[in-house]
Amino acid sequence: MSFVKKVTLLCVPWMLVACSTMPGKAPVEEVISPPITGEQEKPEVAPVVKPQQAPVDSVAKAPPALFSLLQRAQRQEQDGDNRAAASSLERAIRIAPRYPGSYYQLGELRYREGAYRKAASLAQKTLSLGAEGRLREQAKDLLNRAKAH
Amino acid sequence: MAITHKKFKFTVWRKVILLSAVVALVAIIYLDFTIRSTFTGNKWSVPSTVYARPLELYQGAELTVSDLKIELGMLGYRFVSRLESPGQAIINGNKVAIYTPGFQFSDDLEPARKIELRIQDGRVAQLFCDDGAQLVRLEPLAIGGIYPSHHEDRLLVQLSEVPVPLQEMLIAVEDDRFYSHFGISLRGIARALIANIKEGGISQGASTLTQQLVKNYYLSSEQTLTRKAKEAIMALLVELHFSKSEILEGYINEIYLGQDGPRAIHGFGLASQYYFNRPLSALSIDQQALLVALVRGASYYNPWRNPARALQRRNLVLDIAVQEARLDSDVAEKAKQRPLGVGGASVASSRRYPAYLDLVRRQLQRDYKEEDLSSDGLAIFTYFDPLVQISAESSLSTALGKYESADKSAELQGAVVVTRPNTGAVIAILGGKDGRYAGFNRALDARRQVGSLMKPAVFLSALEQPETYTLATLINDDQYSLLQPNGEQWTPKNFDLKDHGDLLLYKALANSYNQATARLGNSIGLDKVVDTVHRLGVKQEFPALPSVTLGAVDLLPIEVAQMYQTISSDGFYTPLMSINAVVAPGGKLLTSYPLEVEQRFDSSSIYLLNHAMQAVTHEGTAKSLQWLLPELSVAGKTGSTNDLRDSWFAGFSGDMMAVVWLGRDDNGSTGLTGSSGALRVWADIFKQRSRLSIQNLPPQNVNIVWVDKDTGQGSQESCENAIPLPFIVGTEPEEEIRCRRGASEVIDWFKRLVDEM
Repeated sequence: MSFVKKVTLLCVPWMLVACSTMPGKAPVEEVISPPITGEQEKPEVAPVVKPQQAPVDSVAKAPPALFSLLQRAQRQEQDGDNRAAASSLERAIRIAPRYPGSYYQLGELRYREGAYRKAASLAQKTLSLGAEGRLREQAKDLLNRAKAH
Repeated sequence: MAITHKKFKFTVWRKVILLSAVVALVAIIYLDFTIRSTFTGNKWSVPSTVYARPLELYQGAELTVSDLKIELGMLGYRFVSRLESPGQAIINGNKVAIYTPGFQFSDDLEPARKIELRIQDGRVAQLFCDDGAQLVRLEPLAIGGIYPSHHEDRLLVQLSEVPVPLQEMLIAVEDDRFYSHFGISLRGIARALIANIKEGGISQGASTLTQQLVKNYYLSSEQTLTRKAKEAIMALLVELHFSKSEILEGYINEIYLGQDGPRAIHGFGLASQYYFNRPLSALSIDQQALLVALVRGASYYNPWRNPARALQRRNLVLDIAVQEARLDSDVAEKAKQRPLGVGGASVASSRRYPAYLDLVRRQLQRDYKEEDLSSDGLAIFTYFDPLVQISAESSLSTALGKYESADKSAELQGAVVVTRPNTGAVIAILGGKDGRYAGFNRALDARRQVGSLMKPAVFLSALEQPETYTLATLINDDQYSLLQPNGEQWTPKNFDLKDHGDLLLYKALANSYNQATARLGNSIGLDKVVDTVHRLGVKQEFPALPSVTLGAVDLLPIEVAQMYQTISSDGFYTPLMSINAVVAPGGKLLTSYPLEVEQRFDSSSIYLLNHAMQAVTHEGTAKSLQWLLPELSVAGKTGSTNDLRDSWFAGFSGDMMAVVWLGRDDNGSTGLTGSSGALRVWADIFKQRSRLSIQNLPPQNVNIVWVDKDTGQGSQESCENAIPLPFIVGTEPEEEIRCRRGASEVIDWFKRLVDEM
């Protein structure tokens, strides 16, 4: 089995997991909004920023349509067209800029191209966007591999 | 002797003839050189076209019916009741059907297709395409052409894009023998000569299209015989060097067709957008005829000012085309029944984005020569979002209009830069209060003092030393004085001229206290603060003076945007970009500008900073956002400079980042603080365009702990005065305040017991 195929297979489970969830957004905090009574009026109690307690709930989900794009990027890379694959992945990032999976896939692409610094940065970005579970492990692994170069 | 005399006479004549032949030849060579150098240079070739971002459609995409309608309208779609051909759309309540013409993008060909979608609660609820696609792009809006030497935003067209009936009508009316003559029409000249002799002067022209083109390029409009002769010779030369279709294409792109304020409308491509608000290829026969009618006198036949005259001339064009057998009479008759059909003048002229094109041009100049851009017909794909731009324009002009009416003598100006977090895409730019007219681009060229916008860099420098500084560290806001290297005392004052004693670190940022910030920054070390500013993305060097901590540094709004971009992207630096790709005619990708990310700050330090910047909008100088934007959670910072010369606000939500500056070009006082001026414009833009609250995800090494809001001591949720604050693991304060008693303590004990089991 080729390396590319292995990677593809590895990617399938988290794609399915992400596919099964509908797009949604989770505002990070509750806003205490005073009544709209005039610009100069001040709320009686100063509202406090409430930090998010459970990071896992806020990781961005991708819209289902995004996965066709991510799969297309894989096909393009298999066909040897890295530039097309990269631009598909960047399009995916523009559509859902907080979805960590697209950054990871772009990171793997850069790694295979030998752009290790870029790969490491993209792995860090994946982690920073709250990647969890398998994707988190994959991103950590990519970061280690990329940093070893 | 006689023979010699005869011979002599002959030689003189020969010399005279020879001399005039040489003079004529030199003149012709000179004219030929002029024609070849300019016509083959930029004028005869197609310049680059700049495209906005395409609208992406998929299930779940954020979109309202009204925005989709605006987008389709800008793209020149016709709203119909049945879809028959590309470029048509049906809007029926929240259901929309679109027949796209297809488009060649830098990465893929988007085919022509029929799309049906249902929009609900600001999202695409359902999407169905006739080819089964789940993710489709509409064609992107052409926002201008790159003409570096002229700084014009023309829309040039290739002959293949020009509707055939328009070409036929143009030839019928202006030069019916265009395809058979060789630059000048002898019959026309003879006719004109007779008319001129009769009237005793030179008044009537008989110009071919070629002559008109030459005249437009080189010659003055005065009617003299030499000019006429020059025009004729040059027309002949043009015909010698170029094909008929090249000449026609040049004519179609060059001819003067109207005046939009200070802007001359040249070419049918731009005229089509100007008069009808749609591309040339989408014009009906009657609209095409009106444009042809304008060739004879764009002002005299102006359809808005002189509609009756314009209608008469348009119908005459249609009649002549029928007479010359270049148009079917029933088509012409039908077209004659139609009204003028021009769009609203204001709508048409607002569709220009000089400030954004300016940025595109500057970014292109790093990689391309001017000649290539103006001649090779490149397609330049950008991140420009016309919907955001329109909102930003209206927000700024409303705000400035309000202030102006109060004091007419103060000419208040403004600049706005809007970007997307994470990708670094610049999506909208305003270089002044009137977004339509090119001029001083304040977003890219106005270097202004940034004031308190610099403070996040000071606090970030502190938070990067978690052993020493947390959000709950007490810092001092009493009067601060520093002896500078030049021997002067520096004593900054708070805006409210009060001292606030000891307070939590995050509160000093939230309330923008100068004394506390100056003390904090100078005790951390100015070199550290300056280094943080550079790591945030500011390339400009500046001296590390104590006043840097309070923003005594002049920056461009776009540089401020770069700085806040890094904060909005969780500490990842991404260079701001307007261009995504440059594509050659035929679809070959020439240059792509790939996404670059580089982690410059530890996620936990940035997380803490973002928390403090959210506090700015909850309890600090920007707390008016609590009622200006009740449904959106954002982070940001106000900025004001001495004597209220500059009013700034920079901040972000989960899907947008923007910097707004208000001030006067003469650097006079605006009477506005950051929160009373720029913040209002910023809030208005976000109210219209941002849909996602800030997503500040705590990294794994961050814990939330309750502390006393005045002392910073560890506390408990149920205690009075307790607030939750995030801390990097190991830096949390010890729990010193306890206030749980009785039953709740027992319950807690059981809870812990259950948790441990």
